[in-house]
Amino acid sequence: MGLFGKKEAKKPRMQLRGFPGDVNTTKCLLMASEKNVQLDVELLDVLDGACDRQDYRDISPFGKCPCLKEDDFVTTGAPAILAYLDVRGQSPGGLMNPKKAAIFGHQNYWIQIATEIAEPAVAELVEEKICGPMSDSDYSEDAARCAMARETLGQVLDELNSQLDGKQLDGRKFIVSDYCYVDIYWTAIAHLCSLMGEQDLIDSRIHVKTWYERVQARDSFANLPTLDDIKQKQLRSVA
Amino acid sequence: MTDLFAFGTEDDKLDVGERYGTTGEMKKTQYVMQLLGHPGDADTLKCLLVAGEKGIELESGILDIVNNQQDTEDYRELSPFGIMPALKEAHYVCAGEDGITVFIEGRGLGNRLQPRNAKTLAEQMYWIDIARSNVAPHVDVLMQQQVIGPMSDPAFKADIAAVDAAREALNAPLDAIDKQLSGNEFVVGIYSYADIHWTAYIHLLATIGEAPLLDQRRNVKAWLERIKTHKSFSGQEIIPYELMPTLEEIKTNRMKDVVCGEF
Repeated sequence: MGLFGKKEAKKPRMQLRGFPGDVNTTKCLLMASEKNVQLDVELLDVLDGACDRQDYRDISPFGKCPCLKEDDFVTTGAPAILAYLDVRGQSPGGLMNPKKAAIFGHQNYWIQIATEIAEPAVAELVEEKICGPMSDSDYSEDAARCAMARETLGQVLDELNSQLDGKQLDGRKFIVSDYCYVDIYWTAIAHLCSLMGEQDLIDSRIHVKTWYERVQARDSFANLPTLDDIKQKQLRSVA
Repeated sequence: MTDLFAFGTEDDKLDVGERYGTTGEMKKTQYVMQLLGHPGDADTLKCLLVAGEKGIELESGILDIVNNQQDTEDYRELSPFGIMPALKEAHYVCAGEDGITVFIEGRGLGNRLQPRNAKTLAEQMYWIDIARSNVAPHVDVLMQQQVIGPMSDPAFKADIAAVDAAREALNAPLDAIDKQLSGNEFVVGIYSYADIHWTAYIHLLATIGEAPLLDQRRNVKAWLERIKTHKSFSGQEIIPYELMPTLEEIKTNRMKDVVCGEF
């Protein structure tokens, strides 16, 4: 480093407790990687009721998963953790929210669709296809519940496909503009759909498929849990 | 199709010159936004509060949720999943409180509502998360059972068990926010989006006759008194809380406009 060289900022190091099949944990892993935060991970076994135990409720009175710790600071739940990682982390583009009001508004609209409509449907598929059988070997999938979740996801993905269609036309490659928060939300949803054997929900919508291939090519995607990771209840640290 | 935004100055059908000025001067109407929502909907109230806070003129129109207007084809044209409220400014349309509030803030004046400090920001997001997931569903039940239900059908009988369960479920988050407000002027110390969210829910509870839930929580009560006199950051003579509807206004489907003075 020269006399007036800039000292390289030290990467923040934090600990995350979460569950590999949880959409909120998935989002936090993506954000940490996008923001160059080193994350040590620990399993929070939601299937074993870890969120309801008193020691966890002492940290998170409403049992929100995941949980993040840096030094003496602790916070829980995806909205708080994502915001914290965004500000504490480093990335060339700065903060992940769009700067223009109109784009920011549209981003948050698509985040609301993700959290209120798509994520509950994904959670039902995860419950029926993976977590149910993991907790009880005699568990049999509720076909009607899966079909309903699939239908809901089909509807929102149709809308997302139309949204992405417009973006492709004006040369932008992500959901509302450059890669931002909303892409993290929908990457987590698409990834879990894919792990649940519902890849066709993505592949049958050309613009969603193209967008998903783009986010899969980002370094952050490599940190996401595989199906085997979920079954083995293991998370990978973000280096 | 019916244009649901055909109200206020939009409905006056002023020509471009009248609406936006032709001589280069900036006209106040340039910044008028239109909000389509309902006074009994907490998300609509959050948008009104942010508009008041940021000094943005806003004309309010009623989305008749008593008659499920949010499910009509006309509204679904604006918001395909029926998410409400909806906002229009010139050709820009956005639905849902989360998108609308940041859009208004981006257009508005004064202090940022979003804290810059990472810990304070995370704390704000945590309390918004609690408000959305642990308070909103129960306020919705109370509103539906005690106000909206009887508005749609005079013979409607409230489900007492559902009302009691909602009241019971509100105890834990209200205790938590009461504890958080101990020693804090606002939810995370400084005034932020967390106060906007909690103001909407606490106001609705107080308005629909659930004041006993608040009276027993001293810090919440004192915070609400501060909110009631909190002046807009925009420099406008606006107290955002005064935009909140009365019970009578909810029952008669009336919502206030945000009106600004001289710029």
